[in-house]
Amino acid sequence: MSFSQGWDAGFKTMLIYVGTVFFWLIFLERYFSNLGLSVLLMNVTGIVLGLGFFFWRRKVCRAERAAAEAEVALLIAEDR
Amino acid sequence: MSAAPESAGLAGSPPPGKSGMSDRWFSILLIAPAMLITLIFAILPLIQALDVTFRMGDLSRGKIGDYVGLTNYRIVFADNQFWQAGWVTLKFTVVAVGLEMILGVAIAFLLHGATFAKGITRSLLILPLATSAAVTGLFWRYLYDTQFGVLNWVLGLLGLPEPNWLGDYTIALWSVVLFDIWQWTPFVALIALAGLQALPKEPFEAAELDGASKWRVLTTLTFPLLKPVLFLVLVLRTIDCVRLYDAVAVLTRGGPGTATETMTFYLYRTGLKLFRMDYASTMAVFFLYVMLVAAVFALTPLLKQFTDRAKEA
Repeated sequence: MSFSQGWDAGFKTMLIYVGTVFFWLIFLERYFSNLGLSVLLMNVTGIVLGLGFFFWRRKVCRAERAAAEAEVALLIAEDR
Repeated sequence: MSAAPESAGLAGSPPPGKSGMSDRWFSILLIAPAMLITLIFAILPLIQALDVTFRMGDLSRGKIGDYVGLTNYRIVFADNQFWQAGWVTLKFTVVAVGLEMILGVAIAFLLHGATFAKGITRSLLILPLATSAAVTGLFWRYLYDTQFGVLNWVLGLLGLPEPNWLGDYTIALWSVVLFDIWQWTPFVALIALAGLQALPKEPFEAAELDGASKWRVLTTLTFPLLKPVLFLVLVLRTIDCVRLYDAVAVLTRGGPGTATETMTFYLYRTGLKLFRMDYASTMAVFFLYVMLVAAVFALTPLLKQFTDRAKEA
């Protein structure tokens, strides 16, 4: 994963976490009588979704890099 | 150029220049002032605004108060007026941007095919853009005036009803939309015209030779080739419409009632009229978040298109 890919994935991870917090506060928190529990669950959900996205992006980027390297290797082999 | 520096450049970091500084450090040095200014004038205030969203920030008490957690977010999200302002902003943006895009592209096509007074028309199109909305807004207030306005005078001459353009809550927002369309359609037209003039001639000549109809050329060549330009102008206009403040401030001050109160105007009223910096900052952070998400979704297809073109090249 290159720096720019990491930056992009990190930024989107942050967006997902903050988005989860907003979504929770707007739509879900009213169903909780215990505010502490709501905040705890909100943070856990945000972190799980954010990290899930980050690791998925990392997997995709690595697969793309491997495919590109294989393509380049094939081209070099063809040149020889 | 000798082979040695080239091989050195390919092997690792670029070689140092005459001053002994590598290209990488030189580029960092060039970008550093801009980054420093961004840090001081954008990032630090943003961090401070974020801090205020978690604090009691009633400026009428003279200071930013204690930490209150997510309370400000809960209060703002439960505020009906906040969502109403969001709805007004959304209505304004969709209608204004939609009409500006349609009219702007139509004007661009007309100008592209024009053979007479093309230059002077282009120059005249720049006029609304060259003047501040605060100034042109005042002109439009006089145009909309119920007693002395030109619009109602003309309608009166034609025997048509003379509406209270800015005072009737059912049409006040559309009056602001009309003003925005007048001011910003030329921008869309000029950018679309520049895009049209930059299109390659060969595909159109080939289509003509093949006997393709005008409609087919338009749908399969002109619009697909013009898409990146149109998309860019759409994104720019959407961003500008969403953060609409000046036109509302000059024409209606958010009224009648709150009929034309957009998100930014409500934010301004909360922060600088009611002195609730905590709520205003919270709204601003939420607004920023929505804009960031919208920008990510809007720019992804554009960036994908650029990447695909680079791959093809």
